[in-house]
Amino acid sequence: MNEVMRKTKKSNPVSKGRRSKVTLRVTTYIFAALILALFLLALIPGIRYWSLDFFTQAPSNGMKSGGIFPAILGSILLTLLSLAIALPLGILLGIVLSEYNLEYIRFVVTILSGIPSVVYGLFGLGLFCITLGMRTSILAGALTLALMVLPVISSSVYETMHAIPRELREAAYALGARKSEVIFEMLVPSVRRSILTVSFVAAGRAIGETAPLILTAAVFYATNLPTSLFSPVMTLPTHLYFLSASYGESARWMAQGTTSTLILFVIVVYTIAFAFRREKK
Amino acid sequence: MNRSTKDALRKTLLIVSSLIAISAVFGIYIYLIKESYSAFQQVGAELFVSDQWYPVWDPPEFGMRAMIINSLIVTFLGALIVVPFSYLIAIYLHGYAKPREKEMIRRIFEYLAGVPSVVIAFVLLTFASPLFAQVGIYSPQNLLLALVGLFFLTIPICTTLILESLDSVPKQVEEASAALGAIEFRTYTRVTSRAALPGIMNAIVLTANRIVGETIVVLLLGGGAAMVPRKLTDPMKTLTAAIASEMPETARGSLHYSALFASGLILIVFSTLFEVVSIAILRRNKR
Repeated sequence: MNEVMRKTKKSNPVSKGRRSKVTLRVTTYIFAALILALFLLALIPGIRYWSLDFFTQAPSNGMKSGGIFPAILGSILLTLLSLAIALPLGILLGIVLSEYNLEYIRFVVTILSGIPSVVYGLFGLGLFCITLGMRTSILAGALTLALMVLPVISSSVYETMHAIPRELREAAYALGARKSEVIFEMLVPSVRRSILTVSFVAAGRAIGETAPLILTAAVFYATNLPTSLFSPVMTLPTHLYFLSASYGESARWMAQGTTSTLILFVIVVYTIAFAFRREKK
Repeated sequence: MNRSTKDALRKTLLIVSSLIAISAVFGIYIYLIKESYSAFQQVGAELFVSDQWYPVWDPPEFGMRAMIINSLIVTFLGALIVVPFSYLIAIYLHGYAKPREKEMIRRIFEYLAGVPSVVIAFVLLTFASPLFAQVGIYSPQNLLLALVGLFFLTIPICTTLILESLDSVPKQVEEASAALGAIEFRTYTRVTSRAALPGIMNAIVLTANRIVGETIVVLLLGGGAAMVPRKLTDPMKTLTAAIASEMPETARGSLHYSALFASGLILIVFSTLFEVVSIAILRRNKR
């Protein structure tokens, strides 16, 4: 009797449904936990190396002592400069995508957004560094990064502008506004917050990018701080890359300190981005 | 400013920005073709049929076949691992999770999406790579480790895309399925997933594109041998890894330089194909 009951219970679709729910929940939680573990492993081991010197000194003594100030400065400079180039262009391009029905430009932007970052690096190296004679420099790196985040910015701007209800546009036209007035005096102000979110997400993208910078802007060790747009720089991600690719145990501490600094930057930038998005809701 | 000059000025701005985008795509293509021309001309078919990649030997050899195959292997295996798990997580978040829970897990994934690939590579290099030596595997950086890195790198984007496509299926479809007596799990896997199939396929394609272009993770974790791995624990090198690791030391204008541009060209062809497939899937869905 008991045997029979257990069998019927087992093949009962409702309990089967419950079991699949539990399985799915466990799977999800395991991966969420793994991701959190990855975060903690990146952030925690490096925090103990943080000190005033670590943030204000240059590396010295073959990466055994000193700090990462040049890398922090370089990352901030490159990110700001590339955003200064990419944001205006990317936002304008996003507007074009959403307000003018130009299928082929959307196609082109989609293709651009899929191009691997290392190929942007190759292009930047060939065109900016060599053909245009900028050498390995902040400017070449910023232009390369700008080109890379441009499609990201414009497709996000496109998405948000595209979601604005049609009636709003029609109302403005009915009042006699021209298309450019509708766009710049009504639509753009109404998505200001989303544009801020997009900018910070793009900043997060730019600050962690490694491969294009190895090719165009970054050097392993800069003896001086950058003096002009044509100086090579150190950046946080490339510093971490060089340390883990070619330095052993003696530089492990610096690599961990750099990792946690980089993660901190990323968390701050993304938290700001998400905060703008939440307020909008 | 006069109203019509302002109008003209703004229009010009819009035209200029779209011209820049278009010229960027064509510019990248033309530039890569131009720079890789001499490799194609002087090395020829050997680029694609030879496995011998010894660019700094005398005489140098530029066989990229192994690296092309490696790029494809990594893409295929990487997608094969990440897609099923992403799908399961997306099903859970779509159908079972409470709103707060869903919001929280999504937030974790969004933050992970922002973690630079070099950080993921470094963490695995520091904490996971030494484990291989303990179990007697000779190469501490290998295909398996690279795949683990790629898993963390792509699971946020893959899950988010699948979840978005599941969430965009009309509620009525699921209600109809439930009304016919299907349990939740069956509804989500059979009915919702079928309705969301184009979106899921798009997610797979975009994930594959992300993997084929990923550089730092495969460079630091892959081990860097320009040969086709026989097993998961063999070291390997992809096209992207070759570009990033060799380009800084390459004399400009040399044959090696040109051959690396050729591998960039191959990569951009792959990524363009993936994007075109993605556009085609979405467009067919819209109709």
